[in-house]
Amino acid sequence: MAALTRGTLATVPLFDEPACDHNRTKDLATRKAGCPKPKPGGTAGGCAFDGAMITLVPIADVAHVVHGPIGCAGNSWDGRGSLSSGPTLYRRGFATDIGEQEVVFGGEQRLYDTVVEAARRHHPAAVFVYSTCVTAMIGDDIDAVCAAAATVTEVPIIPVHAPGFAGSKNFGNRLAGAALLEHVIGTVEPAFTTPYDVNLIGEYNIAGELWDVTPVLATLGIRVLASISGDARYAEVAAAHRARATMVVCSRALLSLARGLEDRYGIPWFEGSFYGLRAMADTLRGFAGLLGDDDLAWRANELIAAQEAGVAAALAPYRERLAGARAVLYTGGVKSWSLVSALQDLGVEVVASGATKSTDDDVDKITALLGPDGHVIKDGNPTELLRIVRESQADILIAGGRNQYTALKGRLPFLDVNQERQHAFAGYAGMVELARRLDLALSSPVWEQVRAPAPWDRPATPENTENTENGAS
Amino acid sequence: MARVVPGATGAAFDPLKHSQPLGGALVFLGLARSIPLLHGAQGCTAFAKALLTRHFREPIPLQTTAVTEVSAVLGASDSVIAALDTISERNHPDVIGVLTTGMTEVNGEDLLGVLRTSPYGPAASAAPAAGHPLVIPVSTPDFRGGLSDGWSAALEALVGAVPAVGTAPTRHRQVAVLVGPSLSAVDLDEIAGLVRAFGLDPVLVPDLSGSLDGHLDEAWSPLTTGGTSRSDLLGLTASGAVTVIGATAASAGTALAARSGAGTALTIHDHLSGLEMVDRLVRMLMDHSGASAPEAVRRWRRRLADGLLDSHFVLGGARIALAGEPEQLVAVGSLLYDAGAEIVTAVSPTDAPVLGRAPWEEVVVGDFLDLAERAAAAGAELVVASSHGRDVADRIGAAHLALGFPVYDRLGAQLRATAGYRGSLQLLVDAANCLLDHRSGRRTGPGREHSAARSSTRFEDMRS
Repeated sequence: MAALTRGTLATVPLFDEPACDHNRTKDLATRKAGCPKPKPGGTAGGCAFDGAMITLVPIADVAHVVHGPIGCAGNSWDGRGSLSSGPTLYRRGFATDIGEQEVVFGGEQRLYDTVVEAARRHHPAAVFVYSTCVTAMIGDDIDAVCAAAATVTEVPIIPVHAPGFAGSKNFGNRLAGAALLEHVIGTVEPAFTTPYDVNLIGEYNIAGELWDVTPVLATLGIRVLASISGDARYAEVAAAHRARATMVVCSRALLSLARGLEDRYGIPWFEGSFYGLRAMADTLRGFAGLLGDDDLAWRANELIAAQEAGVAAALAPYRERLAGARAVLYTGGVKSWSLVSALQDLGVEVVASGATKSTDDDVDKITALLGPDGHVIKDGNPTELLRIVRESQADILIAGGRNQYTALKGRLPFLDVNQERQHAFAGYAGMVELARRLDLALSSPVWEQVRAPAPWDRPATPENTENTENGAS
Repeated sequence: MARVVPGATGAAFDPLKHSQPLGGALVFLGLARSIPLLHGAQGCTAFAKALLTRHFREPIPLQTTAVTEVSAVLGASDSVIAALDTISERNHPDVIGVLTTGMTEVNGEDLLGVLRTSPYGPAASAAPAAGHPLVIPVSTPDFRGGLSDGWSAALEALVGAVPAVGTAPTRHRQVAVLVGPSLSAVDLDEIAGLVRAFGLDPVLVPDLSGSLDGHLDEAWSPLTTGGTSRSDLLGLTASGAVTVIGATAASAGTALAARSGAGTALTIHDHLSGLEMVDRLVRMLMDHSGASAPEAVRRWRRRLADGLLDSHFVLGGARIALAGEPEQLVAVGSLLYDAGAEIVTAVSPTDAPVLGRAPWEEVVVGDFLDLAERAAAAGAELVVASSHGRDVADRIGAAHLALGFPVYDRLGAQLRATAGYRGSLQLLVDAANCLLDHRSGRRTGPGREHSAARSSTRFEDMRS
């Protein structure tokens, strides 16, 4: 833990999370053993550094500097679908690209030079500095470099201690949340506040999803003070402590950030989702409940009724076409049940849903939604997924980009609902888009063509001969 | 003869460079029933896999030894053996390439020593039994070199695993073709076709045209679904000739010739773009086969010659900025230079001997920041680079030809032709058309009605 406990981060308890039921229900021995270790040769998924980048890089006016060898930044920069309505600095790649010289003599000077150069060239609102396995192992004092560079540049320089080997992507999300709590949130006061200011945590504006949600919230007078971190600006995140409520969107890993905001600033929070009509209704009522306002609750119910009526008309033709379609859903966390209800709202039968990254609580919800015939997927390797699809006679796999080609190579329709997705599925507008994309995937003319045998695999039947004659005539 | 100069910053601003393990993994992805294994944290594999998937639009077999902070400190050799056990048991591959990363090189662990005393050591590898993988370790720390260096190292390690022979070549008509990373699937097809046209049998190493060309098989597979077979690989030293196509493969080619019998001919071609370079290969194939060039080869040469004439009106004097891996930079740059284009800047992520042989004046070892600054200063009209280069082209108001790695903003990276008579012609045409599209959009006379609207739009574009 040397790399993690260095510096001020030690004040944020990383493994003590009362809001996490993983932690709550474990006996002492299990808790001591910690999170399950990845299996060599049989592991998919990102590292803690990856998770930290996912959580923080969407802050658009920040220069994100990776302190490590080229592998970490070179293979990942500008690779995420988080959109910005303004600055594009977050999409640029900054890496110290350390060499043997730094491995032997230390990379602090090079990091300092890189941060100062990035600040000089781009005038960012802040610079975030990410440690990596190699720079954690060689013992660079990143906190000291950040402090020195902040003095010279007069720009906040934020150290993020999430070297890849520290753990999984989820743990990296949590480490990023700890960095925000420790160094960013509470350092800026908003220009003005309203009684309806809220924070969103774990919403990354993939494919512009946030922009289908904020207008709905605005109708109720709810202002997103800080989005952590889709389409965010540094100053907004830094002012998150003035919000009146926090919603944790689809991310158990960032519960610790929500709880931290509650402990330090007394901001109440709830977990919710923007996917599907039921989830949207719960979310709007959830905000109304926390903001403690009868009028708001009444208006929320009015809005829900109006939006659902509007969407129902747009969904009607899709509901007809999608009725009876069978889907296997393989995604993680809150989406593993919130999407189930969204799909069921469309008349799609969800025959199996993945739960490899879900909590016991999530699994209970999946089981309740799927009913007795539903299958909860525990092991999501491609062979297993294809077997489940085959046995359940599913028509489509709905999953993350990692499984896209698994499905396609099995000649199976596919819809991407994870971070590489190209389409926005959140909110009421997103629900219609989800229906449209499902319909397009299922009804595409390509499936029949690629499933047909090649000429050399077809018997020379009279029927074929007839077709040829027809074609020639 | 170009001089090689360093870029503007010591660090990487919009990195052009990719890591050594990625280049090494690509070599193993060009072998049949193979899987590369990155020895590092799980993120090393996850990032590489995501990027390769975006580029090839294919499932990418790639595994990790999943080193944690505890095993990084206490020794990660158990993780390697555990990973090899798991992969062998689950997938039964023919070949596993074990590539180190920065973190497993920093802790100073002796990977070769670990493997030597394991069931996956060189004794088992020299004559692998059925069902037992050929395990090839390669040292590829992220903090040294880049993609091309990883490719070279992995290819050298592959050649090192081929049993050396002392006798004269037993397969005179077999030509071992060691290739570099700049060749697409259609390029590799073109090269194999050229060799076959002379009645010779090519063995391409690696052969990404068989594995990652984008083809629909019967079913999904956890291993590569094509590429150089293990038996072809182990029979390389019986070849009558060794030919290197791509400067990145030169060191492996030299090593293979040395391991082969006396009388094995070795020829090295830095690349296969442009009339003169293809002529050299054809001459070699004529000499080795004793056959004359068949009509199909002659026909494509005539077409390339004609294409040079047609395209020189467009490419002549065109200001072109390039960024890419060393071998590709020299291949594409030479082709365009020989059609009369002006290479206003050329940026390579790493240094390599081939850069010095570029026919234009200067090559910068730098990143996309260098490309952007120099291309803007020189008023480049066309940027030839990977998908990351599109932002640069947009910012300076130039056209963009997507070429290199990674290409994720359009389809068909493996269908981009650059090599042979036919591929050279295709690339000339693609580059010229790119420029023609770009120029036609800008040709607005002062008296034209729509000129005001057009120029104001473009001004906005340049500001953003």
